[in-house]
Amino acid sequence: MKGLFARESTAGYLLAGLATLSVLLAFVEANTRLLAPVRSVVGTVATPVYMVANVPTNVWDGGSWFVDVVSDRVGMREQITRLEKQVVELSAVSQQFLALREENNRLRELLGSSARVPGEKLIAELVAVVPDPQKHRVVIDKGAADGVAVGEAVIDTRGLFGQVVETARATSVVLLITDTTHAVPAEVVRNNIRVIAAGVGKSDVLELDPVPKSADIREGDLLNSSGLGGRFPQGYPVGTVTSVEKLRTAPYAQVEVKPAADLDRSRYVLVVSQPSAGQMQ
Amino acid sequence: MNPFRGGWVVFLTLLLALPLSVTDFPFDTPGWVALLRPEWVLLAVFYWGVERPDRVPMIFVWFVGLVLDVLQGGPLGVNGLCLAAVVFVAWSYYERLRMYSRLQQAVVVFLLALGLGCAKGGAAALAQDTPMSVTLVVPAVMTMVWWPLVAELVQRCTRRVAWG
Repeated sequence: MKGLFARESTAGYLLAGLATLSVLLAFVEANTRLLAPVRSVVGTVATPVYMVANVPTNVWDGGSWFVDVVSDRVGMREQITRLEKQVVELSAVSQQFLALREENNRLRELLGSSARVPGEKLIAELVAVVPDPQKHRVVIDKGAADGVAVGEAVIDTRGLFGQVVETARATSVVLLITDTTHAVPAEVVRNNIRVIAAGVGKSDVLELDPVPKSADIREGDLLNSSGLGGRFPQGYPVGTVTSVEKLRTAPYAQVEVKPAADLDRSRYVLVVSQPSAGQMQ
Repeated sequence: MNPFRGGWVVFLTLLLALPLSVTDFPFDTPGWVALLRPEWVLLAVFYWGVERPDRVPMIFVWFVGLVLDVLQGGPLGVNGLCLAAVVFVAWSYYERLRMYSRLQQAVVVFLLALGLGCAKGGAAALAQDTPMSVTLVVPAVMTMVWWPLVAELVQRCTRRVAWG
């Protein structure tokens, strides 16, 4: 039966055309980096959608604006006192840190290795979480316009959080270290054994890629990023070893690590740009 | 007779469906809450495709799909392709689909959403080597369950719209 409107007869062609275009897009994207700007532009246009989508969480969590509007004077004063105290404590620590860094660099000079240059840091707020439970990705409110670039490391107050994988003008997408497609080079703080901590798709578990059974890794060991691979800066906490299983039937030890960062709680993160970032592209 | 009259309602519905598809739940909600999410955009496109096929342009819907791909961080083109196919089905069979009861329509919605789920899973499997699993049926089932509710709600809310 012919429909009411003329375009019904052309609908099949239209669908075929769009389908071809879709497959072409997916194919080009999978094999080249040509479509990164397209994604960036669409992401910029769609930024308000994230803002709207985030409203329920803001209201519920009492995070950001809601607390500012509703919280009482006493509570805020308490908070300010607490934060001021924290600032004093932290600046005391950081004074020491500066001195130590100088000393460390002098010692490295004596050893003949190059000094470490600290990267720039940028504070960002989480604005959305990519809803697919299979994907561990979040969106932050700083983008290309703020100087964020793909490949930069993201940390929170406790440790390594993830890395930037897409940038739009005012937002960027961060891949968490627990995503199944992510792995981070790390080292055991106690004895500098180098390992690779890979995500398995759970927000509180990382697994170490094949570790020989003879490796000296114990429960409670701390892992820091090793800086190998050039993507992550050296020395940020990755996690704590929670279990080491050495089955007689398995060729390697099964090591599970609890990420140091509050991956499903942090609202504020730091984007760390490393002077040497991008070398390993 | 203006062919664009009332089109803003369709536009508005789609605009509402987009943030719903990426709404972030508060951190302390249990994990299963996220599984209740249907494919909102698919619901909206199917509803208007059947109800007002002349107000749902396929190319526009394809672009909405593109935006959804970027929002959800999936490979570009997957949502666009599936939503365009939904429009095609609606355009081709809207007379029959209107005669169906909401439950019968829900079965069609399930099949369409299953197609979308398989396309997403397949694309992810090709692009990132993540194995496909039966979990991709969950959004399709949820979309089917939500369909009668959403369809009734949208119908009630848009009863007075002048379509010209």
